[in-house]
Amino acid sequence: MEESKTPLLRVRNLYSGYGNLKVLFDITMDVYSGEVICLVGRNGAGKTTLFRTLAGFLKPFSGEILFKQKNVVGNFPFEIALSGLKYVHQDKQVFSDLTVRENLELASYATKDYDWDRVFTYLPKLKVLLQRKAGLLSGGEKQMLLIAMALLGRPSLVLMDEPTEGLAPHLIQDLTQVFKEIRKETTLCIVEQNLPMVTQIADKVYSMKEGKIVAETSNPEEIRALVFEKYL
Amino acid sequence: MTKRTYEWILPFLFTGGLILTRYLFPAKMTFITEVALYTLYVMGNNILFGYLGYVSFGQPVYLSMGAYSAAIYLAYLGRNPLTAILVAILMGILVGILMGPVLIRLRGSYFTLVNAAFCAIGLFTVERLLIGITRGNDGLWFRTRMVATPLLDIRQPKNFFFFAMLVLLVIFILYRRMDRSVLGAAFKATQGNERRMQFLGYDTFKIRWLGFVLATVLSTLAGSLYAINFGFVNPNLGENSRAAEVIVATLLGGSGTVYGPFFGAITFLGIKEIVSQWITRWELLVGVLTIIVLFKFNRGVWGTFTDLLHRSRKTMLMQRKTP
Amino acid sequence: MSVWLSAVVYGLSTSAILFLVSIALSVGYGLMRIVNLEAMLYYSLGAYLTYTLVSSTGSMWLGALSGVLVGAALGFLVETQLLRRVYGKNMLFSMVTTFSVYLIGIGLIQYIWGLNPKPVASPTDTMLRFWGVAIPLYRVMIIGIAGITYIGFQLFLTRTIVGKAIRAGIENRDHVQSLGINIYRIFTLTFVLASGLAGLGGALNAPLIMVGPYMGNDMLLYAFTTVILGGLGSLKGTFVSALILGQVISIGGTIWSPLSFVGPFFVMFTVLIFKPNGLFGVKGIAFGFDQ
Repeated sequence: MEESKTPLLRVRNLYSGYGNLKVLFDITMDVYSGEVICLVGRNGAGKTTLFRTLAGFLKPFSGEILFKQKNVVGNFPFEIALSGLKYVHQDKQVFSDLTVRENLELASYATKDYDWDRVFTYLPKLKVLLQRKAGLLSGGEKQMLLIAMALLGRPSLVLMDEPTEGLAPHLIQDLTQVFKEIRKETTLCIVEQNLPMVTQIADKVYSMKEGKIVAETSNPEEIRALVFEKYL
Repeated sequence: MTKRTYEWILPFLFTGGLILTRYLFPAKMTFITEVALYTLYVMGNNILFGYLGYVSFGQPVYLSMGAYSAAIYLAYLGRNPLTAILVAILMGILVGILMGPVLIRLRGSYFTLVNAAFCAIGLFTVERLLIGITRGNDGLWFRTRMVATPLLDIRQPKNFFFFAMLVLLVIFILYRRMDRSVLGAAFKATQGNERRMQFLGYDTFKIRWLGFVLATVLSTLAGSLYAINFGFVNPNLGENSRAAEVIVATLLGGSGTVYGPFFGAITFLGIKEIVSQWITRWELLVGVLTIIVLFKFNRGVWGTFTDLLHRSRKTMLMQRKTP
Repeated sequence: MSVWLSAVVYGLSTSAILFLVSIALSVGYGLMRIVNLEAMLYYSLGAYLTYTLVSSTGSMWLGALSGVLVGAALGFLVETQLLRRVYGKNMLFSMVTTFSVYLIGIGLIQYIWGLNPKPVASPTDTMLRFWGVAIPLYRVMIIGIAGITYIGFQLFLTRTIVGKAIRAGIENRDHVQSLGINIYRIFTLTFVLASGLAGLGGALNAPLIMVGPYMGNDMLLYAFTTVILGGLGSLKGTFVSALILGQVISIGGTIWSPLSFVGPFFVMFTVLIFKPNGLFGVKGIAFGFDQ
């Protein structure tokens, strides 16, 4: 059934890495509009490397990346971001020297999307934090801010690298709700370690190991099994 | 000829080549002597730049230090040039051991810049601060104070030439051994992935420290030979603006290789020799040369040569396999 | 008393020049992660252009203006044509590249203006009197110009969106790109600004020193010292450390003249032993090979 549609992001036989060091081997994956994809796998499995390659920070050795049916290999990261593929980095690094408002201003400046109210409907908490220095936010608030910045410009696909890392369980629950709302607007691809969240939101799960995709499934039962396999 | 013997022959081949050139072009003896001395100096920088990945904008200070310690010894304390060389080597070891921990701790650009400042202080010291001893810009003369050395009287330029060749040969052999030994590998591994080396149980700080000491000793040795060859020293040797030259020479020859410094010295001094017939100040040339080498020719003369050799050997093997 | 007051004012004017020239190094390091040595070329060119324009038109300010413009224009050329290739590479690439550009520039200066140092007449010989101490008006003007530049630069960084993007970029270039901002355009703009300021520094310094082909060498050392002492990548650090070093040079030199040359280095060495990242340095970006 899915073969008939063209994927939003199509990755074929992708090899990538740092300098001479090969990290990713023969990655092939498809992301369709409206989906929530989760990437699972141990540390060092190559998930972040995959995201950095997709976002344009690493140049692949070979293989193709088609986003909206256009080749994006060799484009600058900012070009990829402007074409609608946003990447939320791993370490929850907001621009700590700037206020929340200024952080959002930067995101709007780049995308010319000043519709903050739309973003606040998903993340109402941010509204009251506008004057605060971003460096003083809590981990959960920083993640909210990063998501808000990513959503400006109405991206078609958002890559999120470990958004729940280091967050308290109730915050993870909040974030799960946020993702459930956001998916109405955009496609999500998330590197996630948190089992309950994955089983709640994922339509499809890719499992990575040693730079390869070792399993892929869209069946809820199998997702459960796959995620358990990883942890047990 | 096996690979081993071929490698053993290279030091003799290169020094032999220099001696042969001296007889083919007798007028160029001074130039060839300078090539040998400059090679030592570039070798020192190569340990920092090629092996350890440090850029130093202060190498002239170590050269000048060696030259001045030899000169001061010969002008005031003793008369034997060989002892003076020894003094310079000891000075290099001492400075390396004392300055090493301070400088090596600074990574990347800090190392570069602090070395540059150190060089400026060195220049200031010999030019102004110790003017009573060093005679400042007049230079310190000691040629007439040197006594004849046994076997080979190195006060004569003709004999000094052979002495320089001998030193070069010995250093070539030692340098090659260093490159092939655990130490050479450890230097490069420390540059490539320091964390991993630490996991393997190596004290990377000491490795870098040792590299710094070796680099310093090679520079002071070269400096003392320069001093004895000229019979005097002046502060010019340690000028900051000359810091780029040794980096260019290292790049030109092929950084991180055993014989790169030798070819770097020949190429750099050769170009300088030719060009200086037309222009006296050649900053312009050094700059243009560096940019070209850095962007278009970053393996250097010797690096490119070994690459070609490697490739042709590979194709030869391939041809043998598929007759 | 009078000696000390004029020493402080002389120190402040030295600080002013140091600050203007060091911005290029500081910002180049903080934002682009390159060691921007060829700013010294714009500094030297600024001084030489001032020399030429003062001797032909008599106007020092025309000289300063042309110094700024030529510095900015060359900065644009070098950044877009050469430095684009070294971004993201090992720090030694940018160091060696920019130093080469500087050397080429020195070579050209020698061809155009010759080897002999040139004197430049001060635009004003007016002396101001503070508590009976005579202070040259020109020095006060330099201090004023540097002060205005600092405030202007701060306002630019805190009030404009491009300035905010620069601050964000100093914190994390990758994240700025991920927002969809063309970081290279920001690099170019910053580089051009900083190069222009280096040219301005050279122009303002011209009447105070002899303009020679190697004037950049000394300034290079001092600018380095300023930036390292303040912490690479911190504008505030550069400002504070320029203030300190100006006084070290001036007051130190008044006490014992060799201190005016070596004093800054000793201050830097001492601080580095206790704070390897300088006074306001950001941990992490201080290390050259962190790519």
